[in-house]
Amino acid sequence: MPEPVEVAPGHLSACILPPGEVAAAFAPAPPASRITTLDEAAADVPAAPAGRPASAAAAEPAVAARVQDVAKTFRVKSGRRRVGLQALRGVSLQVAEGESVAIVGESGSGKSTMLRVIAGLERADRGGITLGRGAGPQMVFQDAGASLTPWLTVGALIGERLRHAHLGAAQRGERVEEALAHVGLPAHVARARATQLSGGQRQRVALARATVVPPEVLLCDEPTSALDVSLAAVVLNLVARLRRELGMAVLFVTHDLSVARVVADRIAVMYLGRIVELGPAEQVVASPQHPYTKALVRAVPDLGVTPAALPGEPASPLDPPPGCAFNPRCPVAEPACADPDFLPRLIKLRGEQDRTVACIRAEVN
Amino acid sequence: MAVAEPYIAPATPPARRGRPAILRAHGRLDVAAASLLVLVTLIALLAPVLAPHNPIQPVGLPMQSPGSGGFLLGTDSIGRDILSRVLFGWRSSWFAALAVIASGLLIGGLIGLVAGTLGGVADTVLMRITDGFLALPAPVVAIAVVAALGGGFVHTLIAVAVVWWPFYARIVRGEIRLLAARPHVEAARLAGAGRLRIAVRHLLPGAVPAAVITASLDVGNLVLTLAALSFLGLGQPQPAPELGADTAHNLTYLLQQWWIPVMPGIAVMVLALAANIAGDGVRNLLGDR
Repeated sequence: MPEPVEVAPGHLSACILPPGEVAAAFAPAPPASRITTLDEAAADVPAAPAGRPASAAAAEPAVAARVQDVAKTFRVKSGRRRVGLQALRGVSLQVAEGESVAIVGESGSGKSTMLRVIAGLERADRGGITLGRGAGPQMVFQDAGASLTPWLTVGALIGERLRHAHLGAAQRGERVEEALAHVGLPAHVARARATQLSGGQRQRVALARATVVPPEVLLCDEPTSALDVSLAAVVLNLVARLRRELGMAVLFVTHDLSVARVVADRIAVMYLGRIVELGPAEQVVASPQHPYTKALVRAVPDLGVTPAALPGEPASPLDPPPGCAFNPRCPVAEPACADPDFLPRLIKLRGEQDRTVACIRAEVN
Repeated sequence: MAVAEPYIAPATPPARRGRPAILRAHGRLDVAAASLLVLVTLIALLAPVLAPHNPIQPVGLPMQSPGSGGFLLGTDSIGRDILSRVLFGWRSSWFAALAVIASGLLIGGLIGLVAGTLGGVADTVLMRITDGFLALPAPVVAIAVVAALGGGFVHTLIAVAVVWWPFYARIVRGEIRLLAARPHVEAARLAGAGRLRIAVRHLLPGAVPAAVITASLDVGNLVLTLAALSFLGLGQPQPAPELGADTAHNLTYLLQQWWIPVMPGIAVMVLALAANIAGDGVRNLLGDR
C-alpha cells in the first residue's frame, strides 16, 4: 500500500504517482456533477435499436404514457382520526415514445405515487392514465433486493415475465441469459438467488427483469439512491443504454437534480402533488423559473458552493396550504398566493418552447 | 463522454455444480439433524422387528430391574417387557404426531394462506372462525367426537386434529401478511404473476420455515396431549403400549421401581428432542436458499 504523502500543505494523498501525473491521467474527465448526458452517450455509440425501430425520429412522436389530471388521496390514521393524505392533486404529464422524463421533488411530493399509479399498483381517484400500445410498464424499485423474491433464483424471476411467450425451457433460458448479458451480468447469475448478490448486481437483475420483454415505458423509482456514487453511475449509464437500445421511454423519479439532469430529456418538478415546473432538463437546471425549483437548484451541493437549505418544512399532504402550496416557504410570495381560490396552473413561458411553470408571477407576465 | 463503468466483481457462482445442494459442507450438521427424522421413523417402522417380546403379554417376572433376566429396560408391574412396550409406544406416538401435524399443516396452512393472501373481509372471517376452534379444549372435543363417532384411537386423532390446525393457520397467515407487504409481491404483480401464482410462488415458501419450526416444537406437545387423553380413557385403550399412558399410570412406582414410569418418559423426551433438532436442521436447510 502506498503511504500518504503531502501533496500540498495539510493535504495528503496515498498514490504512488506524483500529483502531476494523477492530474494528467484524469484530464479529460467530465465536470464533477456530470456523468454523461444521453445525447453525448448516444454520440459515443452508434445507435442500434434492437427492439423496435426508433419511432422518435418521426415528425410527431407517439405517446408512451399520458397522465391526465390524476389525483390520489390515501386514507391514513393520524392518532385516532382517519384523515386524507393528498399524494397527487391533479397531475398531467405526457411522455413521448423513447423519451426520458425525470420527476424531481422532496420526500412526500407525490413523485413515487405517480409512478405507482402509472404502473397500476395504485388506482387514481380521478383522472386517467393512457398507455401506448407496446408492452405494459415495468418498474425498477428503490430497494432492488426487496423487489426480488428471496427464495427464487434470478433465472426464475426473469423467466416469469416470459411465461406467456410460449417458449420452450431452453429458449426461455436463452432469453434470460440474453437479458442478463444486456445488463452486464454473466449467465451463471441466473442460478443465484438475490440474497447471494451485491447491491449493484441486484439492481442490474431488477433491470434485466424489467427489460427482458422491453416495456413501452420503464418506471424507475429512485433506483440509485441506495447505491454509492460509482455504482449509481453504473446504473444510470445502464438505464441510458437500455433505453437507447430497446427504444423505451423512461420515467425516472429522483430527489437529486444532478441525477435528473443527466438521465432526462425533460424534468418535471413536483411539489405537494402537483407539477410546478416542466421543461427541457438543461434549461430547468440552468435557469429555473419557479421559486421552488430555484430553491432546489440552490440546495444541490456543488463543489465549491455552499448549498442553501430550503426555507421551512415541506408542506404537509395531510393539510395542504390554501392557494399555491409553496407559498408559506416562498421568498417572493404575494398575498394572492395564499388565496384559497387561487390554483396555479402550468403556463407556457413566453418565448420558450416546451417550458411551463405554475407560479402566479408567470401568470402576471 | 461516458465514464467507463467501474469494475464489478462477477457474482460468486452459486452452488458448485455437480453436487446436490444438500451435501454442501456448511450444511452437513443440518443434514445430520434433519436425518434424525429418518432415524426416528425407521425405529417406528421397525418396532415389530426390533422388539424382543410381545408388548402386551407378560413375558417374565414383574418389576425386574433393567438388565436383569435378559430384559434390557426391565419389566413392568405385571411382567411385560418395557423395551418392547417403549418401541411399540414410540411407533404409535410418532405416527400419531405425524398424522396430526400433517393435517394441521395442510388445513391450517391452506386457511392461513387464503386469509393472508386475500386479506380484508375474507381474512377477518377466516381468522374469527380459526379463533373459535382455537378456544376449544382438546379433551372436550375428543369426548364429543368419541361420543359421536364411537371410541377408538383414530377418532381421538381426528379430535386432536380439529383443535390443532388453528395454530398453523395463525402462524402461516401472520407470515403471509408480513410477506405480502414486501415490495417483491408488487414486483411479481408487475411481472405478470396472477393471484394464485403470487400466493404459491411468492408468498407460501416464505411461510414454510416458521411452520416447520412450529411443527417440530409441537411433537413433544402432541405426545403429551395424546398421553393425557389416553389417561382420560380417550386414547389408546389399555393394554396397548402408549408412552404417555405408560408414564402416567405407573407414576406410583417411581420411588421403588423407578424404571417402570421413567423408561417411557425418557422415550417421550428423546422423541420430542429428536423432533426439535431435526426441525432446526430442516429449517436451516430451507433457509439456506
